[in-house]
Amino acid sequence: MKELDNAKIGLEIHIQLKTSSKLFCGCSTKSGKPNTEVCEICLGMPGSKPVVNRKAVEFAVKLGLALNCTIQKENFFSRKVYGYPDMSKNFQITQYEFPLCANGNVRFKNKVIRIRRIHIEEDPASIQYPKTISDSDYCLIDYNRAGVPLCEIVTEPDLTSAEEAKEFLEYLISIIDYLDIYDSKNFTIRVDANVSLPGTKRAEIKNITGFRAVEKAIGFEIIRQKGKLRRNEEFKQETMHFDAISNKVIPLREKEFEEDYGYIFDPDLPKLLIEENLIKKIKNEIPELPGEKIKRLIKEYNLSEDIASVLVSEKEICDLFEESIKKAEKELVIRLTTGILKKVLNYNGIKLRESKLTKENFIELLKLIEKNELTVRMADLLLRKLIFSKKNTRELVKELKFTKINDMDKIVEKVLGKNKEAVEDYKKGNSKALHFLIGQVLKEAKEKADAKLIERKILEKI
Amino acid sequence: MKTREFLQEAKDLNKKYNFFITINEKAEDGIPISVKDNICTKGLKTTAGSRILENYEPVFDATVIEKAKKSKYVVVGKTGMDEFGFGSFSTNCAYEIPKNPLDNTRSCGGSSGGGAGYTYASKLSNSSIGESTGGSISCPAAFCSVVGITPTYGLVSRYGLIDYANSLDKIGTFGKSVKDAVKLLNVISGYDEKDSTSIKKGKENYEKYLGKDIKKFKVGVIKEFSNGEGINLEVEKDFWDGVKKLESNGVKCKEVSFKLSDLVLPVYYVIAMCEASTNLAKYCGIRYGMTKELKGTFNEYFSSVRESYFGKEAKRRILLGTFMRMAGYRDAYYIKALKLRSLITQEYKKLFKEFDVLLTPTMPILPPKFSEIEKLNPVENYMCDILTTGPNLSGLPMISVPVKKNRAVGMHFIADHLQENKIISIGDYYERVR
Repeated sequence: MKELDNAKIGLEIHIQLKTSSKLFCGCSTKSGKPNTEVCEICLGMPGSKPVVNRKAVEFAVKLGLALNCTIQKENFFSRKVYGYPDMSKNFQITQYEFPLCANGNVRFKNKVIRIRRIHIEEDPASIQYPKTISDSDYCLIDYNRAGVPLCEIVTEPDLTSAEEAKEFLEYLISIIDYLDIYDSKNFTIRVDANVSLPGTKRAEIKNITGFRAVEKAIGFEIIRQKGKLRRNEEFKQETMHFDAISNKVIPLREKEFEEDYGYIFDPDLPKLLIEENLIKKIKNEIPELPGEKIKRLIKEYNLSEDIASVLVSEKEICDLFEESIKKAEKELVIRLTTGILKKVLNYNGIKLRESKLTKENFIELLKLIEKNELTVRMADLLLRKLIFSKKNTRELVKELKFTKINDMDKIVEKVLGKNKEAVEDYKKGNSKALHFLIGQVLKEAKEKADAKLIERKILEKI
Repeated sequence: MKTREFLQEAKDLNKKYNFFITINEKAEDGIPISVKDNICTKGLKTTAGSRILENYEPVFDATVIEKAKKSKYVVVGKTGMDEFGFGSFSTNCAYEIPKNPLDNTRSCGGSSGGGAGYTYASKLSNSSIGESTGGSISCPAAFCSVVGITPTYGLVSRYGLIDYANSLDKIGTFGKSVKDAVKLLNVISGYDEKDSTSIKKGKENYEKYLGKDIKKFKVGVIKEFSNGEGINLEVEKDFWDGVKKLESNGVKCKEVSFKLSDLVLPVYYVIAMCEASTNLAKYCGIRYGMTKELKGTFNEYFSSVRESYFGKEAKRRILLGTFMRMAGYRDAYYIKALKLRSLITQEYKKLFKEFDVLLTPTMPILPPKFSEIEKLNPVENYMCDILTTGPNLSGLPMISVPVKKNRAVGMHFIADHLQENKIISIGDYYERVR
């Protein structure tokens, strides 16, 4: 990957802001049956007029402040004019000359990634094609999405490799997550990536969805540009499309220049003032963000940077860690939060905040382990249930009929007594004999026990 | 008033003068008013004078219609206008062209022509809802010898008004008298949260400004707009007779210069066309309005719908407006016009430090014959708006009052923002002394 480090990569990231109503009308942002969450405004009926959703503006200001941007005090909206079937007015209300937030930066690893601008805009409708775009005879338009508030974050081309771009994106999204302004359930982030190498012209890859795809798309684009360089081909500014199925970057059209959209100020929306008081208020609402948090965790709990980063990547897990460490031993808490819990959640594809696991249940679990009533292996099995269950830890322990550690001694003694030959074999150096003994104990305990623990117990007693 | 009477009268008048694009057959009993056809009326065809909306029935009422209905007004019908407001004679209407009730070989002005003509001709309806972008209330008011009030930008909600140029569009009223126009203004004005440009201000009863003595008012007569070249001699004479009437009744009138007078028209047309070209983008035969057989790519389809159903003037303004906001031209036209617009407003503000009211003739010409209009080229056509575009650009309140009864020349009184009281008081005073 080292040889890719000379790439210049800038990202344009679109996220959906977590408001209950659309950006310019009162329609819900929840997706329902096609074309049910619509009104004269988001359908662009003649005579309808937009009214700005203040909440969306405040969310974007919050993000701007978190990314160290300057907040534009006097804001204007503009019309970006182009015709497309998903555009209800054939212009999109967005911001052009004066974005809400500008000139920010994010400390990322040992670099500073500059943020050029952040602005808000409305989402177009969604188009569904019965087949692929080129093979379809018709398309269907769902205006439920028309007018949903989006926030566009534009970075300077400060990223240098596909991997770094992906990692930065993950870090940025964790910041956005902390701010609680992003609707991750109904919206997958969309990214446009601008990529160039020394000696090539910038290509823009449009509409990449998902972190992995961003890494792949940029990676393939770099390879494509390198190939062209090697073959001494001429470069022109291009717009590309990344096809995630065939893993190909395909040219779309020659780059249109932004200005060709014939922007004018939207005359239906007067100057939007952001007052100093509002900025202050929003500043106070910003929680401790990942960067500061990592530093504090390292200092406060004497953690390694890796552990701290893993904890911070999901705010709720970090909160759980900090709650738990007051009640249980540090190494155990680390093992259960960053290791087992994270693994169980990932396996089920959910975030902690979407699970049913409570702080109380988790701490109870830790205590049971510390009291030697449960093994870590059992805790793993329990967590798989707890993340989906309304029951508390004790109820589930009963239900799962784990063999208590105290009962284990009896079972081990019983098995050893029955299998004296195997004990002898093991003493003579046959390690298979030990596995046989463990198997026998497990059988006796009806599998509800931890193999590691059994091994320890057997060895104690031989 | 009984429905049948005013519907019958409207139909009879329509045969002679084409005031209406649509007559409201479903009208119930109430106080009859006519409404310009670019104001949305739920379930009642609203075409904005364009073929592209020939079959369009809005799904909602404009705020002014909601308010009028609550005050027992009923809509007699939707009045003829230039397509989307693009014109000064209502001759750019895609339907029958309204004729002047004073002389049916002449234009009743535009773009709110039908409403002004009907207000003059009807014996049953005293007022009408019109709309002005660059003079579309004042012009037909003068030509049809009725009163036209264009309020301060933002005083009347534009929600439900089909946009021409949103930063300029204002809904206002026509009346047989100042009082009639004021009564309807009372009903339709006031803050509306659905229009972000609506002014947050308590409701005012404008009738209390009628019958006032305004001898203390200082009136500034704008030199550049009241004399000489470009002003028809008959208009000039009538106008100055009117000024003398005011003076002989003790009102102080003083001639004053408006420095940016030659910039007003180009600035107006640049902004109006830029905005209009974006507003008209939505008409593409997908969600409403006229459609065609689905053929070709969406671009081909959009273009073919727009080619078939937009009129010539609409196409001209789309092309010019698009051109002036494109890269390379945007700064030279659109951005520059925005800057000049604020200078023009500052110039007015300066004058309002000295004067309560500014005065010009409403139109520089008498209502032209249809045969004369055909001979005008676009620029000559636009020149007719020279007197009305200034106050419209700055969003100032204005009133046009006939110089004499049944005379197609208007006295155009202009005041500072939100000083409707002054134009109403002086308009009403003039009506009494003329």
